[in-house]
Amino acid sequence: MALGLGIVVYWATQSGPAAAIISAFKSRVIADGGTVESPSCAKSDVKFLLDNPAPSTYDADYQAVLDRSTALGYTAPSPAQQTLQNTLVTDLKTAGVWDKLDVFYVFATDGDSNFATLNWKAPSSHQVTKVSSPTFTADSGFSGDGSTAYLDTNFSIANDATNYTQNNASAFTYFVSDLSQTDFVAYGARNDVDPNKVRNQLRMRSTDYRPAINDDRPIIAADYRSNNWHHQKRTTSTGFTTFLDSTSFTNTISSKDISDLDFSMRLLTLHFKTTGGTSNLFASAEGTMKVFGLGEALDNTDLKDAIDTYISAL
Amino acid sequence: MIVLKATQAQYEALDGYRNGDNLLKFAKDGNDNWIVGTAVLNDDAFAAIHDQLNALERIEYVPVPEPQNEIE
Repeated sequence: MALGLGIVVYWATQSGPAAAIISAFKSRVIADGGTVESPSCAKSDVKFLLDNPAPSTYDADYQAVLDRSTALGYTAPSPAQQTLQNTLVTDLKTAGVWDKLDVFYVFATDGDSNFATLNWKAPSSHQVTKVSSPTFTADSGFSGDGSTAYLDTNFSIANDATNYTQNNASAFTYFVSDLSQTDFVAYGARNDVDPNKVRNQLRMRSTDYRPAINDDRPIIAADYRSNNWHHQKRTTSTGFTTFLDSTSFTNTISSKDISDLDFSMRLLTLHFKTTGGTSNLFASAEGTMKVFGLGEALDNTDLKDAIDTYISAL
Repeated sequence: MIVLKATQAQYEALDGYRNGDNLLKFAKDGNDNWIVGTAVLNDDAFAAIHDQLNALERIEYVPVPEPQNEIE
């Protein structure tokens, strides 16, 4: 088999995506029995391929996540998982969920821990900061260390939310606890300064469950730590509903002004504001967070189905 | 659980160290000590300050007291 001198020289000078395209072209020539019309023809064919790359088959919003990852030098997920993640985005769009989100993080990925920090809803903003070394496990997510490790979304409900509002809000996570920790906070931002104490949190204890979304701490006497799916949804000023793996319940509790939640939502801990400033309250959660998101009130079935489909395929 | 305790000088030297999207932040424990978990000692993101982190005192973790309005 003999490739023309022109194509060989051209191929040898390429690198990166160009080299891949030319290599693929060369393979096809070899597979075809080595017939190349002429070196100049081959060169023009390759140039055409370089000038007209195949368009991405991915949804534009998922492609934006991949593009951001590439720009930052992160390791993207495997091709097979990219397909799954693209399906997750399109499923959320089909269900009408996507446009209602403010932030959406998918920590369960076989990309690297940096890729896992990207906010899929807006990949150039509110990237998660890994604070004091939370543990990342491929295809699983992030977990805390029981003391000081957590994730900071750098997203303030008061300052950054566009869809999430006082009486139209959702917060959700897919969180796996091994039940060894009897008291932890999966996520939270809490203002404990009078006159407007308000919080968005999910605290789980072996004795009770303490969800809150724009209010001040309902307490439910039940151990829900074995549930993976947790979705707090508020559509009125008078109460909100919590959705778990296969059940739900509603708490009657008035909503409060969220303008004082003007500090970042943190994951695997509780960001706690007092008159003395902000700090973390409670040791970081040792369970594994796979997904987290915030937005306006979301259809639980559609949201959960899309995320379950993704998680179960990993 | 063992954690790393910083003196005020060590806290001021190390707190806020950043490498990309990795950040080192101390927290107060129940005895008002500045602490950070031992996971930072094995994190490549903090390799440049591992010597300083290894110099921190090892102490037993003391949880932060529960706020009064969380107690039943």
